[in-house]
Amino acid sequence: MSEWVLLVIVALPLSAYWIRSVFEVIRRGDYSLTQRAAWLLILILLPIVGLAVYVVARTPRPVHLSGARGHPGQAEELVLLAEQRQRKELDDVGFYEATAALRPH
Amino acid sequence: MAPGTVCALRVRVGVVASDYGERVEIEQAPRSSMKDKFIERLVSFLTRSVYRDVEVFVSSGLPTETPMLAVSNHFGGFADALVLLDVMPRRPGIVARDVIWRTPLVGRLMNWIGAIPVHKAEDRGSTSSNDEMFKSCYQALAEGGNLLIFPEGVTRNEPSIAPVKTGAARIALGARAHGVAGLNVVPVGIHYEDKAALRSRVFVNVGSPIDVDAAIAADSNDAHDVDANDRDAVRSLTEQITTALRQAAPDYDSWSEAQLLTAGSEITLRSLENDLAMDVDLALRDRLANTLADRPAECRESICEAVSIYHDDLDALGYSDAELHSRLGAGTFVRSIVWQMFFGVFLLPFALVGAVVNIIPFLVVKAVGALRFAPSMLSTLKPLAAFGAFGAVWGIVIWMCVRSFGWEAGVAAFVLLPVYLAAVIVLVERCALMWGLVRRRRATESVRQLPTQVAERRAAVIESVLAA
Repeated sequence: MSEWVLLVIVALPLSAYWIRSVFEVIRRGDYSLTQRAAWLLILILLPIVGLAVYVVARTPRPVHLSGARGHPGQAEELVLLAEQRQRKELDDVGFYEATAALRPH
Repeated sequence: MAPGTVCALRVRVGVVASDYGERVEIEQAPRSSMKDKFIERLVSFLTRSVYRDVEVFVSSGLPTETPMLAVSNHFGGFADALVLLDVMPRRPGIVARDVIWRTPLVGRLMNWIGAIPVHKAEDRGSTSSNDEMFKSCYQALAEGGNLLIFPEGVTRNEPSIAPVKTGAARIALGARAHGVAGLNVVPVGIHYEDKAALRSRVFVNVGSPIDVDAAIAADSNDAHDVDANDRDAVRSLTEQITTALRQAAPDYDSWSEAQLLTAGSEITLRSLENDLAMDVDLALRDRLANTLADRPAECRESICEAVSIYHDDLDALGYSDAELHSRLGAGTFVRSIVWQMFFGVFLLPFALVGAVVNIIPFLVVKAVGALRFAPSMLSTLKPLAAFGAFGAVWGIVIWMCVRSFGWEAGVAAFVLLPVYLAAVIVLVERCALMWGLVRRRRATESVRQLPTQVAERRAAVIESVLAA
């Protein structure tokens, strides 16, 4: 019983995390081939310790995207126009005309 | 934990350019030392645990090579520093009041992250001199580094910018006089959805940089002589910083105005997203609300009035704007619920372990949160309490694992403890999500057609925002 619990609670997430990390290392474009190979070796030879070291020492992947849905929607368009007006790059008339399409009919 | 691994821990560190479609990625400079990496990981783990979502908007023109002095609003005490250390491109050194160093452990922490103490006249009994502070600042900037200062000098509990002190302008002008070339002052606005709450959202708005050389050239004939003691130059730059900060950070007349303008902004944006989005991005909502706060008083009043009237209607119906406008068909509802349940059952064992391990530190943080402090003080104390309490309990668990099962078990515990905590957080948030689905489904069922009057009042809100 206790072995079974241990298996689910400890081994399962640990191996899932390990597999995830291995795939992450393989796919990391920001690491050189040597770096990736080295990390893979560490993860395979010392699974638990290697995982801990990787979790602490890896550099975070450059993350980008900010509420980005591929192309700016009307909501983002309105915000950009309002900010242009706030910076006085757009006057009230210009803002009114530019937002005409956004108004409820 | 890598950002974005689990949906509920999703962090959107974003970078968006000024123009439509163009999106620029700002790469974090590679961290050379182990210590830097460790600080980065720790800070990012803390923010991702405390906040549900961190959104960042970076205006175009942010310097990537030249030194920058970031100036930020200061609503959340220690939390402000934590969030900015995590998300600011090119992690800055923090300039902070020297009284902070007097708190035993915190002082060490500040030194460790490379903060620079500044002495304020009203804090008595300090030994540090500001000449030294200015010198360290010039040196840091001369080395191409970045500094972060909260130029209001105090944490605020009002939703507006306090009078900006001259310190930031003096550092900028002094650094320039000491040969720092190409310095930019970058305004940063931190927007909290609810600064005292755990797992709420936060949005960092990095505004357009002020080129210090250009700013001086614009209002002085003899730009070469300008230094930190030139009163006119200091005043003029401080004014520019104030304006930039007001545009980047929340700046409302009152809490009720802040609440009504952000609500108006959210309703308008939701309508433009074809009402599909349940959660309007905090970034979009607060950026629009910020421009509304800059409009003439009569515009703001008309928005506030329209929103108040519409809110009364919503209260009468018993649903929120989001619930009423994100229609949910029966099929989608059932599919979503089944999927969430399946996911929940899978997470349950790990979440249970997480709950058992983390219940005590969680209660400690809750108890700290119940103390009667100002919100800005709480947002300082809570992350610190969380750091201490969770750190201590996790340390004990790891030590116990080592004692009972050997050192490999300790290492495994070190890796798994954050995973268990994440499982609890994700599970709790899935439950909240399911409750939201139930509410939306109920709204869809019971309010089949929005009463004409309510729809008109909603249109009035949108009209007032667009006409402002």
